Amino acid sequence: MTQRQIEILLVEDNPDDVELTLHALRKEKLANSIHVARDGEEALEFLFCNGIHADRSFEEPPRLVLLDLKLPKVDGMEVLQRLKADPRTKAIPVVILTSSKEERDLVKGYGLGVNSYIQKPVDFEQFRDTIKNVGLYWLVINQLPLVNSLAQAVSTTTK
Amino acid sequence: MNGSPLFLTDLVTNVCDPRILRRLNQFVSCCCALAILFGLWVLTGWMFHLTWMKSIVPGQVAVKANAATCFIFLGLALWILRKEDSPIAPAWRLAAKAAAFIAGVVGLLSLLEYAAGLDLGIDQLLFTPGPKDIPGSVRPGLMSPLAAFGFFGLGSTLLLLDVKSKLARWPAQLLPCVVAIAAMFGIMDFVLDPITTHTYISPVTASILFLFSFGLMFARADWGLGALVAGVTQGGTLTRRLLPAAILVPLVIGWLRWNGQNIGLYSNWTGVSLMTVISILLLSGLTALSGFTLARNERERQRGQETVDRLAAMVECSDVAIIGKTTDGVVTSWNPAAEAIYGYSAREIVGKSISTVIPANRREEFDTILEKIRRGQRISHYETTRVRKDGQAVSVSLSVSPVKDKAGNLVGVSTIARDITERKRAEEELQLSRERLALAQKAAHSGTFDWDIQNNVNHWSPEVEEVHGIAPGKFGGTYEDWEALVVPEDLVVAKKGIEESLKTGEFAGEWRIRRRNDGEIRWITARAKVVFDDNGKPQRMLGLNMDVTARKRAEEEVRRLNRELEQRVIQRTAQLEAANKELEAFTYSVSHDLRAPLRHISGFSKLLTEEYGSALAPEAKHHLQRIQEGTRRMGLLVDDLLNLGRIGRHELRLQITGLNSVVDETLFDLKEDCEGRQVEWKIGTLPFVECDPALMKQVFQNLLSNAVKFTHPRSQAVIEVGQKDEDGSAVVFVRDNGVGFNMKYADKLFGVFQRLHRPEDFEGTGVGLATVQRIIQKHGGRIWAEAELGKGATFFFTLGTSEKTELKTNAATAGDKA
Repeated sequence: MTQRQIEILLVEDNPDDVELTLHALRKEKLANSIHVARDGEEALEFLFCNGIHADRSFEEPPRLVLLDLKLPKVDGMEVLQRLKADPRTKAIPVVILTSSKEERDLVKGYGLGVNSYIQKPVDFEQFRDTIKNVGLYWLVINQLPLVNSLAQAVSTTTK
Repeated sequence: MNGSPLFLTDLVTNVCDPRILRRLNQFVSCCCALAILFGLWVLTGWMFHLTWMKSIVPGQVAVKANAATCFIFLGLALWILRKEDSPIAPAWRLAAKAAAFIAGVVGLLSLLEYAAGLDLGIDQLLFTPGPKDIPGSVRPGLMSPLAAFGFFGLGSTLLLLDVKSKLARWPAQLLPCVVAIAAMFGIMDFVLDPITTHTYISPVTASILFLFSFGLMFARADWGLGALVAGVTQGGTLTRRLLPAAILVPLVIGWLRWNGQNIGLYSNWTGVSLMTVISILLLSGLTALSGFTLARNERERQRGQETVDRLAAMVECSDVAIIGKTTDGVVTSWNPAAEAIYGYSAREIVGKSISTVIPANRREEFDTILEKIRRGQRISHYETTRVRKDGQAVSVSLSVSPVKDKAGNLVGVSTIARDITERKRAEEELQLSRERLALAQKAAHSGTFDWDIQNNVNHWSPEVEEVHGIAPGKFGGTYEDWEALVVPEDLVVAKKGIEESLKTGEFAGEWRIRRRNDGEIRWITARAKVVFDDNGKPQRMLGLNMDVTARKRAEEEVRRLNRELEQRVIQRTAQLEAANKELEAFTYSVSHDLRAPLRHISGFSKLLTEEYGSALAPEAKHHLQRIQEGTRRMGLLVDDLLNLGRIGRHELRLQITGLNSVVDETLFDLKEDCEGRQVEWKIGTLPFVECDPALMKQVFQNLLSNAVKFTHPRSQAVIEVGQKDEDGSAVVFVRDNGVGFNMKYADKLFGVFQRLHRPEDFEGTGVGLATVQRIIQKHGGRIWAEAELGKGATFFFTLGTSEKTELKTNAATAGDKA
């Protein structure tokens, strides 16, 4: 299959949320290059190219990770922490997209190096706007370094 | 005795010199013995017809047998009666009187014979004398008239001797005088002319009569001449000195003149002249001598009087009462101090018994005192009670002594009395305060100790002993005795404290002791001071020991309770923390899990509307609209509740905040809500307060948005924010002219989910005011509301730090002016 570069990794366990999120992204023509990980473990395997995603390469990291916090097996904070702790993955922008607005989660998330923290609005209209804005910002407006040069930089620093 | 002539009184009351009295007694006894022996001698002569025995002096008149008998009777009578105060059996007294009577009668009868020229035969009663037996006699056997008079006089005197009446006393005194004078003629007869007799009396008889007269006069020393001679008065002294001279000198002069003339040494004229001149010389000399003696004695007496006056003045001025009494307790002198103490004046009490001032219950004591005094004892500082004239009791200290004359006779009693009422009261008060102290010490389980450090004697008050379980007085009193009582673990510290105090002078310590009797452990607290001598050497330690066991136990109990309480607090805190954690976890879950389904409902219903709206009936679309609305409201509710829960757990971040800036921020947020409406904002000057600004913003957000909301029906809304002063603390208020509410629901206002309006009229979750109240309470303040239906509502709140609020307001005002 033609491996088109995955632009968004959506880490979300709730199928309703997955559907609504995809629906919102689809409307903005952003849903084509999405991979959905249904728990923290899978998300890590995807990002670190092992387990069921062993065929993946660090050369092609996602351009954005939308991360829920309450996840089965490995929770969102741990995923974030592992991601940001590893030089090969720490440059990947991560946006926490969650139901709660707990202060301690905000503090902890930013402490671990999250790029953005967004509470999912209950109102679907608002939710859709939010998703749209996030997608536009991180995938269109925001500038990221080239993946190859990033990988090279990583490999040289790890050597 | 009252009413007696003064001189008589003087003659009667007599103070005698015991030495002279003894001499006089000896003289009287000698007279008796002489009379008896002489009588016996003469009678013996008569019995054996020995002329030399009858007349004694050769060639002189013989002494008659009845005269000799009279002498024996008189001698015996006086011998028996010679001592007035010695007890004599009445029979003896009678016998003596009978003897005196016989002698007197014989004398009287002989006189009668002379007077009437009768021969009563009295002269021949014993012996029939022959003519040669009685040379120079008037009649053989008949005594001379002088002798007869003598015996009659002396016999009468003896009969009258102890009759104590005026009528008897004068004759008893005068008769011997007359007899003596008569006897003197007999003596003169012999002295001047020993060859021929003129008086027919034997010179020996005359001499013995003479002596016996004086013997009788001196037999009683309580009155008359005897009293005078025996007395210690000047008169007595003079009499003793002059009487012998008065008797002997004329006798000698007369003898010299007579004999000198007889032998032709000088003529009759010369004799008379010589006798006269010598008599003048001697009498003048004796008078002058008496005068000198009297004058000297007078001077001495005056000097004595001065001393007496001085003493009297001292008595008068003395502070102590000086009272003279007779031996029966009759007051004889009374000084002003006595008057001051007893209230009676001297005039009132002299002559009355001292028992006037003695309380009825102490009369026996008075008798005892008098008895002691009569025995010659003294009483010193005897403390007793007396009664004043006004009936008040007075405490006195008495010193009572006997008053004696020179002869050592008890003549009176002197009492010195001091008023000791004040002292007694002071003593009683002292005693009372001692008792009180003892009682207080007993009640406080405390007592005193006094440790003589140098001699190692520790004196404990009974309370201290009691605390240590020791019977009174059984402590022992040494440092080692104390050491033995202290619990060994505490002893080291206690001793160290004592050693320290011997340098510093102050001691305070606490230790446990084991009671000597029951072994119970008690806590002792001690405070003491050390007394140093001039060299800084510790002498004594004086202080207080107190049993503080009860306090110690209470303290221990308090500590135990505190420990328990602490333990319980820790447990509760842990429980509370656990509960909080649980709550937090719950809230966390709620925020996550409760919102997710809402979102899904909202999302899918929206999608349904959007994607299949055209296919749906208008009613179905309305239902979908209701679902949308419901989920939105539910979302708000969940958010508000979560917020309320968060405030409960939230820790205040206090900082000085100007409330005006908080209000301004809030107003900015509210702009949107007010669009298209006429709202008049009246924002007053608000204080600077110490608060959590984020929470304070929530307060104003809620109150102001409420005000905006509830003034919606008004064409012109007026919303006022300001502060007022209430009881010295700042109260912030938010007032609107909105729909208000009925005050009877005011208590429901701040309850969670409590709403006073229908949702279609005014939207709301019913959580806002509950949140406000919680924030205010968290700041230690208070919130309340006043409203009237249809007229508007006012919300008031204070913050706990009211005083600071006040200060800050002033500071802010001052700053603004500057």
